Amino acid sequence: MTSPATVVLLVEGDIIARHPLAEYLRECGFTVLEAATGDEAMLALKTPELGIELMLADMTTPGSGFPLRQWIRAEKLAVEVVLAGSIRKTIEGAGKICNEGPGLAKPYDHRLVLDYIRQAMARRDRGKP
Amino acid sequence: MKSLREPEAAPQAAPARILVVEDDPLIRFAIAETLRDLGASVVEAATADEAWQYLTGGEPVDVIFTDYRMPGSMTGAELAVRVRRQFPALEVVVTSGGFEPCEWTEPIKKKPYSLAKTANDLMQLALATKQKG
Repeated sequence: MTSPATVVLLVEGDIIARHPLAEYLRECGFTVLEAATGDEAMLALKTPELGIELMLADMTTPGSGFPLRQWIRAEKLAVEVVLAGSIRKTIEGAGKICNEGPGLAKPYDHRLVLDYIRQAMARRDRGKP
Repeated sequence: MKSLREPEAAPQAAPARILVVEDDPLIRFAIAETLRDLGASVVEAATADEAWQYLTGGEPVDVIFTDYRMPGSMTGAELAVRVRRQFPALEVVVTSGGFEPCEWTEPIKKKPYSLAKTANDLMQLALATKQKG
C-alpha cells in the first residue's frame, strides 16, 4: 500500500522562481501547493482538508517569514516550517526536503534549478521595456 | 475513469501546458491538481501580473485559463487581450462569477464551474492548440 504523498506548501512571491521549485518538489514525489503571498499561505494552512505537513517559505515574500511562522505556532498547527532567506537558500531547502522525501532519488541536482531560475529571470528582465 | 485520462495524442507526446491564473488559492489548487491528474503540465499564477511575467520570461504554454477579477495592475480580461495581441497562437479562456462588460469580447466561462468538465475541456483545447502547431 502506498501512502499519499506528503503535502508541501511552497511560499514564494516570484512566479519565475516558484514554478520550477514546485515542479522540482513534485518530481521528488510531493504534492505541492503554491502560495504567492503570506495571506495565501495562511488561507491554505487554515484549510485542514489540504493536509499540509511541511511549509517551505521564502522569507522575502510579503507576509511570509517569521510572522508567518509565529502565526503557525500560535494556531498550534502541526506543520514543519523551513524558512529561507534567498532564492539560493530556498532551492537548497528544496534539495534537502527532496533527499528526505517520499521519492527514491532526486530527479536532478537542485543546483540545476537555480541555474534555470537565474536564466529565466534574466530573460524576464530583458523583456522589460 | 481510464478513458477520461487518455487524450487522443500518443502517451509519449509532450504534455499539454496550461497556465492557470486565479487569485483564490483554494480554487487554483483544485483546478491545477485536477489538470495535473489528467497529465497536464500546469503553471499557477496568483495574479494576471504574475502570468504576464511568466510569459515574458519566455516560457511557452498552450492554453491560459484566467479568472476575470484579480488584484494587481490588470484584470484577467486585460491579460487575455494582451496575450491575443502578443501571443496569437495561445488559446485563452476567461472565467468570471458575474457578467461584466469588459474589453474581452469572446464568451466568458461562468463561475462556479465543474472541475472535471472544465479540466477536460482545457485539455482538449490544449491538444488542439498543439496540433495546429
